[in-house]
Amino acid sequence: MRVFYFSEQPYPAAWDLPDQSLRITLPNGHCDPHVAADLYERYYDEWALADACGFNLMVNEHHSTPTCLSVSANVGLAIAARITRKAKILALGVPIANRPDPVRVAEELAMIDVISRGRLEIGFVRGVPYEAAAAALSPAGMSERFWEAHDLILEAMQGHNGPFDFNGNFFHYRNVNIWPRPSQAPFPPIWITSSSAGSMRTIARKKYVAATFLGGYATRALFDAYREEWRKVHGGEASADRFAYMGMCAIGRSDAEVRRRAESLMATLKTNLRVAPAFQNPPGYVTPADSARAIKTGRGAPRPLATRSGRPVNPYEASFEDLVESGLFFAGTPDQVYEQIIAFDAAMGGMDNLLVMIQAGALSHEETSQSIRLFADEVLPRLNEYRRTGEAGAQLSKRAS
Amino acid sequence: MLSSEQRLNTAPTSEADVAVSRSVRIQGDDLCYLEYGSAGARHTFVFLAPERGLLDAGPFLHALARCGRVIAPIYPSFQSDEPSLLRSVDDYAYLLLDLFDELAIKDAVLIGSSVGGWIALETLVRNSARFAQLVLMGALGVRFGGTKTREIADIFTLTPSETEELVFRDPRSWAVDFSRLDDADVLATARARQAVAQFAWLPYMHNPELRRRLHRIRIPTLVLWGENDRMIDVSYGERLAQSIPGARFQAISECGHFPHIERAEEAAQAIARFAADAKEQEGAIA
Repeated sequence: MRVFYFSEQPYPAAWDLPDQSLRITLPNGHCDPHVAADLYERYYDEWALADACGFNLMVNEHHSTPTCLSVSANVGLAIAARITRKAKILALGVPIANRPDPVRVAEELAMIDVISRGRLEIGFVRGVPYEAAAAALSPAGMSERFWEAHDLILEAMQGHNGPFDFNGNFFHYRNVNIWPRPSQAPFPPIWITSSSAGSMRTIARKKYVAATFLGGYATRALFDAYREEWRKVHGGEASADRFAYMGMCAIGRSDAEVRRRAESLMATLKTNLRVAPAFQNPPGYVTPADSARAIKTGRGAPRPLATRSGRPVNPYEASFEDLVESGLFFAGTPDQVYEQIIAFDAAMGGMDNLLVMIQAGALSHEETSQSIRLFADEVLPRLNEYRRTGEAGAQLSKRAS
Repeated sequence: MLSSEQRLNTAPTSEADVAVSRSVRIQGDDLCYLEYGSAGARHTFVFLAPERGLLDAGPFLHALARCGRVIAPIYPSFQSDEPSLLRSVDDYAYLLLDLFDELAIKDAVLIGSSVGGWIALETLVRNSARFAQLVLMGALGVRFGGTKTREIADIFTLTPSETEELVFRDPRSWAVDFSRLDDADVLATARARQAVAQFAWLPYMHNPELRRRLHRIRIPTLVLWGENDRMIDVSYGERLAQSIPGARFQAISECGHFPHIERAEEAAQAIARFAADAKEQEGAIA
C-alpha cells in the first residue's frame, strides 16, 4: 500500500474569530504574513521529514481561507519537487474547471515532473462548492469545462511535434507547444476525485485512479460502481492501485496523546460548517433538483457517513469513537492504526493508495514530527509488507463479503 | 410544464385574464410563452422576466392585460436541468428576435425587469423595428462605476432567501418563503439561478460593450425604478435613463427592486399611460 502524507497547511490562529465564515469573506487583515511565513516553513520541513521517513506527499489547494495556506497545488509541488528525494508528489488536486488557462497548468505540471525527475502524480478536481465564489469562472457548465480542460492538458503533454491549435467550446489556443515536456510518458499518472457513483463510472472508463475523501465505510459503494464499470468497459477486474482513500490520522503512544491529536482533527472537520450558506450551494454546482432541496431547507445535503455496521453518523457532531468506527479517523497506537487501516482496506475490497491527514488544525510542529516518525517507524513497514500480499487479502475479503 | 402556473394564476379577475400557455418552434426547439388578452387589442406588451422568472408576476401581467395583449416569453434555460445553449446574453437576444419574427410582433411595448431589462437592451440595440416603446424596471446590464465599485448587489454571494430580503422594500409582505413554496416553483428557482449564472457570472450582470451601443435605441423609453431599491441604487437608474436618447426616468415610491411585484398595479398603470401617450404623440405628428 502506498501512503501519502497530507496537511492542508492551516492558519488556525484565525479560526477563533467569532461569527465568521472561514471561507471567501474573512478579511486577510487577520493574516499576519510573518506568522504565515513561519507556518509555510514548518509545513515544508514536515514534508522533508515525511519524505525522508518513506511517505509520499499529497498537496491540495483552497482559496480565500485560513483553513489552507496552499493557494496553488502547483506552487507547493514545485517546492516539494526540490526539497524531497524519493516521495511521489501528488496534486489532489488542480481545480482545472476553475483555471482560465489550462495550457499554463500543463506547462507548470510538466516543469514539476521534470524537476522531480518523474515523481509527479496529477489529480484533477472539481473543487468544493465554495471555491466557485473565489474562481473567475461560472459553476454553471463547469463539468463540460472540466473535461475540455482535461483533454487540452493531456494533448499538450503528449504533443511533441511542434505547435498545435485548440478550438473548444471554452478554451481557444494557437501554438500549443509546452516546454519542457513531462518526464513521464505519455503523461504522469492521473487521479480524479469523486463522491458519486456516476462520476466513479466516468473515471473507470478512463482507467484513472479514483480518490475519495473522508467518506468512511460508505466509500465501498463508490469503489464498487467503479469496479462494475471497469468490468463492463475494459473486462477483467480493476486493480487495487486504482483506488485511493483519504482519512484523518491521530497516532500516539498513549491514549492521552492520541486524544489530544484527534482534537486538532475534529476542530478541522468542524471548519467545514463555517461557510456562509450561499457559498455552499452555488448555482450549477449540483443539479437543479439537489440545489432546490438546499434552497428549500436552507442548507446543503449532509454527506452520508455511517459506521461499519451501518449506523448513520454526523461527522460534525460525532464522538471520537464514532469517527474511528466510521473509518473517517484512523486513530490510536501504531498497532491500532495499522489494524484499522487493513480492516478498512479489506472492507473496501482492496485499495492501494492511502492518504493520511496527520497534521491538522493547531497540531504543533513537534507533535506532527513525532506522529510522522511514529507512523513511519511502526505502521509504514507493515503496510509495505501488507501491500505485497494485498492482492491476496483483497481476494479474501471479496470471498468473505 | 409551466412550473410557475400556480403562483401566476392566483388572482385572475375574469375569464379573459387567464394566461394561455403557447409555444412556437424556433431552430428546432420549442419556445414557450404566456399570452393574456386578445390579439386585436390596442397595445401589445412583451414582458421579459427578471432572474426570478415569472414568480409572482401574475398580478402585474393581469393588470397589464386590461390594457392590451400581453406576451411573456419563458426562457428555455429557465425550464431546463442542463446548462443550456443560452451561454451568453447575445443568445437570449437572438432567440427573442427570432420569437418576435415568428409571432410577427408589431408596434409593441417591450418591458424588461432586472436581467430581463438587460436582455431587452441587448435585443433592441440589434434590432428595434418591431417595437414602438421600451420600459425598463430596475434594469441592469450596463456599467457606470469605477473598476472597484459594486453597482449591482452580488446575488451569488447570497442565498435565494437572503436575496428575497434584499430585493423588496417590504420583505415581510413580499419575500418568498422557500420552505413553504411549492416544490415545482423551488425547482424553477434553482433552474433560473443556474441559467443566470451561466451568462451573468462574470462580467457580473453586465456587458462591458453595451453602454456604447445604447445610442441605437431610438424608441421612446421609460425607466421605472423603485425608490428603495437595495439591489441597484436609484442613481444607477437615472444614469441609465440619461444614456438612452430621450429616455424618461420615473421613480416609484415605497418600492424595491421589483416594481412589477411590489407595486404591480401602479407599474402597470404607468406603463399603460406611457404607451397611450406615445401613441397619441405619434398620432399628433402624423
